[in-house]
Amino acid sequence: MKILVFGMSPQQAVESPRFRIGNINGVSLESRLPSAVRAGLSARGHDVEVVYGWTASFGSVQVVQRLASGMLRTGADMRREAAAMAY
Amino acid sequence: MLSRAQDFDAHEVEWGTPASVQCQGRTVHTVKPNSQGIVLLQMLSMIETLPLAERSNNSTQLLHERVEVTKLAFADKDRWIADLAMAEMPVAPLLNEQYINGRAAQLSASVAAQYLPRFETISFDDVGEGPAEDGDTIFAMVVDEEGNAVSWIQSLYGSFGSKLVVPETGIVLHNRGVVFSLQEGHPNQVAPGKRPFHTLMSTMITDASDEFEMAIGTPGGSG
Repeated sequence: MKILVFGMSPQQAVESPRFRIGNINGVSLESRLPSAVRAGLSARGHDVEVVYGWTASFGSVQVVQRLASGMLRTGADMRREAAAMAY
Repeated sequence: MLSRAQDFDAHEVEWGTPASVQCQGRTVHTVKPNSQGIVLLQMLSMIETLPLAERSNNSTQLLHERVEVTKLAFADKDRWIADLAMAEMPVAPLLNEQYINGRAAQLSASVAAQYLPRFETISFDDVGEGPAEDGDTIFAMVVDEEGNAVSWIQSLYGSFGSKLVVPETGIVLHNRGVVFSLQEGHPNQVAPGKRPFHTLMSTMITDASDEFEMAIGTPGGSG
C-alpha cells in the first residue's frame, strides 16, 4: 500500500513505521510514528503502547518490485536479518 | 506421540492455486488456508473501500482505519482459518465484494473496536515452553530478468521447531501444532491427519497485463 498508494520505494515502505494490534483495544506503535498519531489514536479509544527501536516483533518485510522499464527495486527490512542481492 | 510413521508416509506435497483479489489496479495473490493469507486479502480489499485520495500516509485517520480493518479481518481469521481438506471453510464468500463492503461498513471512523482473540489454542503452560520470539522462519524471493519470480517461505515456527530431526535426511520437524484450536467444533480443532492454521503467506502482485510486478513477504510479526 505504501508503494502503490503513496508512491514510496520498496526500501522506504519497508522502513516506514508500523503498528501491531493487541487484545481488546490495544495497539503497539513504533516510536517513529508522529506523536500526533499516538494522541489521536488514544482520543479514539485505543490503548496505545509505544515501542522504541527496530524490533523483530514488528516482522521483517522483504520486497522485490519490477518497474515497467524492467528495472528491479528491492526493500530489505533491518528489523531482522535481511539483505537484497543482485546477481 | 501425536504423529506416527504412517502419518508421514501418507503425506503428499500439494500444488495449490493461490487466492487472489484486485487491489489498486493489480492482482494480489497469496496462499489459501490453512494459511491465514486470505486475511491479508480481506484487509487490502477493505482498505480499497476507503477514500484513499483523501488520506495522507501516517495520518491518525488512516492509522485508525488500518487498525480497525486488521481487527475485522482477524475476527474472521480466528473464526474460520483451518485445513481446507478437513474443514468446511468459506474461502470465496470471505473475499466476496459484498461481504467485504459490509464488513468495512462496520468500521467506526472515530471509535476503537474491542478485539478479543476467540482462538483458544494449546496453552504454552501445558507444553512447557512456547516458540521463542526469534523463531525459525525464513522468507526469500528471487526474480530474474524475464520477470520469472519466486516468493518462498520456510518455517519451523519455534526455534528448531519440535526439536525432532529425521535422521536420514536431517529435516527438522516443525511445531505449528501448538496453533490448533482445542475448541469443540472449531474448524481448526486438532484432529488426526489435519494440518494446523498457520501464518505463512508467500505473496505476489501481478500488474494489469498479468505480468509479475512485486513479490512481498515476512518471516513473522503477525498483528
